Amino acid sequence: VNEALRRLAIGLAVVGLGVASYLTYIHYRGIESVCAIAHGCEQVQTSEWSKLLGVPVALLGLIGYVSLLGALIVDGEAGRLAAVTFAWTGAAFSAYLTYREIFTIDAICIWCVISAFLMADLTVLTTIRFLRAPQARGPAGPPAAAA
Amino acid sequence: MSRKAQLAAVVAAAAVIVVAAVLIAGGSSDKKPPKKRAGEVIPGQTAARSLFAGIPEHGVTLGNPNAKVTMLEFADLQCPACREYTLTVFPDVVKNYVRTGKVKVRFIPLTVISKDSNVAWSYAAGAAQQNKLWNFADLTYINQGQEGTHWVTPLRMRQIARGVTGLDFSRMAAYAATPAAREALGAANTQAGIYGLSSTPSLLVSFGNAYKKLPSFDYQTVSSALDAAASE
Repeated sequence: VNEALRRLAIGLAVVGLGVASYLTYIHYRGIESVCAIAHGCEQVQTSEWSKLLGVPVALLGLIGYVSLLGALIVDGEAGRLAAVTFAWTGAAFSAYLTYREIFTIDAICIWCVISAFLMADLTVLTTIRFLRAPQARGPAGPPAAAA
Repeated sequence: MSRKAQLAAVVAAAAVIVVAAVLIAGGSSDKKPPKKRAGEVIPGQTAARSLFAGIPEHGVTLGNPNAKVTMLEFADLQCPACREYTLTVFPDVVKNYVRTGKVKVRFIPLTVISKDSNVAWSYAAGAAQQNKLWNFADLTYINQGQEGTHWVTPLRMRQIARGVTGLDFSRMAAYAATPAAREALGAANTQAGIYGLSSTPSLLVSFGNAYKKLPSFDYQTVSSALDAAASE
């Protein structure tokens, strides 16, 4: 089951990586995104919340998905812990940006919504995977139960 | 440490990272951008258009070319004080002095905030080429981003230009990329030096052949100076 969760999470992270790559590309090219809601993406893209400390949030998303993908590819306790940490951080940041879109910018960027949903799904998957994984034991503890 | 305790630590760490990043970036600001009205492609479009409708405009000059009084406005499109002046004082100046033909106003770029101010001016120069500078500048102020957030981007400039009736963004952007677009910056710096200006907005009013710098940009000060200049 954990392997299935990992593969599903990798699939979602690849999709997220695609979305973030596209948003980063259009940010640096200075072009409008293909957007289903009239000019919503443009308004979000050009708002002051489209950057954090001068770094485009699209690029931060790209870095986040690359990190998450890397953590998912690395099996073991460290990988699981890193994946769940990246996913929760990404989800918290997505929640903040969605709040800004709805209540401050007053516009919705469909690509950001897709990314937020992907990150929420990844958070659920990595959390379940983390909680279900066998507990790592320290050297002084009893040996891990045989499979 | 149990799994659940580890997870709680992860969630807490994620929350701390995001809150810290947002606070450091100044993103906790409650400054809300203006809202779009029905039919607008950008907030403030209707108000800006009606403010300047029917007023002669040529290059950087707004108003009757034969007006006795000239007011020079040294401004930076990124400057928050310029925004305040433009949105709170300037509409009454337009209504009472420019629209009535008593005063003409010239926009002079004094870029003091950052290099992005020069970029913003280049686009404004492109708008001036099409005699749409004042409407473009007004919409830029209305939709001005927070200082230091590098909000002056080609996309934002296009979004603003889209809100100015008759302004061709392609021509404007093409002109903005030429050295001619920035020529006014050098001339403005020279003029600013002559008058000892270092901040924006700085307003100068003509009294005969000489210009006097106004001590502040509140409506009372501006209107008194314009009345005095007109009666000279």
